[in-house]
Amino acid sequence: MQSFSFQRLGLLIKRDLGQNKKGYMITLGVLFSLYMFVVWFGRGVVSSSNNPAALAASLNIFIYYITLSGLSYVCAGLCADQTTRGGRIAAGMLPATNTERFVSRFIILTFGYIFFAIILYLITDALWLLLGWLLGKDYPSLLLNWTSVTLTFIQMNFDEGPYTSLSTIQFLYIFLSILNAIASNMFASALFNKHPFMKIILLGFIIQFIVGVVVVAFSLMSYDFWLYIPRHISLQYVAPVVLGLQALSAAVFFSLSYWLFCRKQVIQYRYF
Amino acid sequence: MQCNIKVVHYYTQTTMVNIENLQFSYGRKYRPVFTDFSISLKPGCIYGLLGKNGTGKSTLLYIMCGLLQPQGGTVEVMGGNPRAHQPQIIGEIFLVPEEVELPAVCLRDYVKLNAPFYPRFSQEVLQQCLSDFELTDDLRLDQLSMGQRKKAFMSFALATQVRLILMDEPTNGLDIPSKSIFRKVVSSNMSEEQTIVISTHQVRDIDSLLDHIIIMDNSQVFLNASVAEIAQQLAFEFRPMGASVDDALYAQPSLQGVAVVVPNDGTKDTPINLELLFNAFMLKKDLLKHLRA
Repeated sequence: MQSFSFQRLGLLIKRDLGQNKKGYMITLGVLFSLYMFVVWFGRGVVSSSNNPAALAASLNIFIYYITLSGLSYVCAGLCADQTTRGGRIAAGMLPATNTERFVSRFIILTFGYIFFAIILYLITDALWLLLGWLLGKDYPSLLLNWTSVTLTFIQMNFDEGPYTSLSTIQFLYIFLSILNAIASNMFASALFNKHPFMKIILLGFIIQFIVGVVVVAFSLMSYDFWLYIPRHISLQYVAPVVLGLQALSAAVFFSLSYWLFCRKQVIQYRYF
Repeated sequence: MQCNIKVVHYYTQTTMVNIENLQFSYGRKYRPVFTDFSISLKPGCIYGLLGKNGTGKSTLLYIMCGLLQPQGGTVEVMGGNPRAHQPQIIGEIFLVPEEVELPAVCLRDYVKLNAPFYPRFSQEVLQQCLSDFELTDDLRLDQLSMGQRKKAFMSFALATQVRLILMDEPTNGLDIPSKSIFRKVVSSNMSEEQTIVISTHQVRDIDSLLDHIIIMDNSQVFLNASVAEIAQQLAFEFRPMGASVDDALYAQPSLQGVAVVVPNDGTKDTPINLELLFNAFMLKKDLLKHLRA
């Protein structure tokens, strides 16, 4: 059994961030620009809409999906060293265990990218508030207003009652969706050695779509095409199964991506 | 009186690399690269790995590093399987590939980020090598020429002070002065515990550096002997055109007349002509039985 060293893990993360600083800064810059654009575009639309709550919710979800798309780009960048022979040699010769190398990538994608995406979301919010104050305009906070509106909008279609634990279920759903997105992206990036970016997005999308269809069919979201199951049964019995399937999907794709990762070779002629 | 006894574990090993019955192919569509291939390398030597194109020299280096998975046989480097990717084994192996890829950072930052993985990394050795190669550590790695990248990477490789350094065509892309500097840099910065394996076609660039020659062809090792052993048993001469070559084990025309390989009766002390030796083994393998691996 290979021993796991947190010191080596730290060195791996530091190495990856240090050698790809420019790429990460550009990615976060683009992400920030997209957030600012969405908010700038959305404020005008929301304020003139007949149903501002629904539109605000949609725009927040739009930011969520932009963030997940950026995840594919970061994943492709992280695994760019697998696309050339020299890169595979450099990665393969690093004195670290396969587990340490895999975990370092996972940490960069989750605590790195997701964390900084949330920070950028808050900065976007703060900047628009500051801008509003400077211009003397009433720009409501994204975080205080739109996020709470989004959650309220989702909750609007559900009954309050003894079988509702909506906040927990929705939090788990969002958390597992992000985990699934990371897992499917890591699996796709481990699978594709050449031109990974578009392939990662495509395979990640397919996986997420399949998982999403299964979830939505039994879901707690108020989509028109969900199955006609009584809500209390859905929340009490179906939700755990659905969330379990999401967790299983993430576990399967993480395992597969680790399995592929350990079988990387400088000339990838086979995995078995 | 309290007596503190410090037990020191001495690392001893008579074999650095031991490969037995290696089977390797790049897929069912391709002919096998290695079939029942075996080789053993001792520590503390500089090996020259010679062979024709497509013999599998680079493949052998990749297998030694654990970068390729053989289909059969055993590969042991310092007593461990490099493919298991244990840091204590991989951390003692360094590969300088034929084409070096480096990130878009300056050399100083590259060293800062990668040197901590090698506990015995020496800044003094690095600076000495860079100075010999006329490089500085503030150079941007992505803006260097191929030869400069190679020199920078080789300096880093020697500074890691790992036990096994593998080099694939290290002098490719180096200018003429750098080739002799390469020999000087390697010989002056190599320690007794280190083993270096150099795979190359450019034998003239490194013949004075090597102390052990390996010649391989068709999944076999035809020669695995030290330079001293070869020099004891063979002599390399140039004879005028038309001179008798009846006593020669191998002869080929050259600009200086006829280059011959003759048995050494103990009276001759000639430098080894690696090109001639290689050609001799490629064409007349059975005449040099006493030097076979």
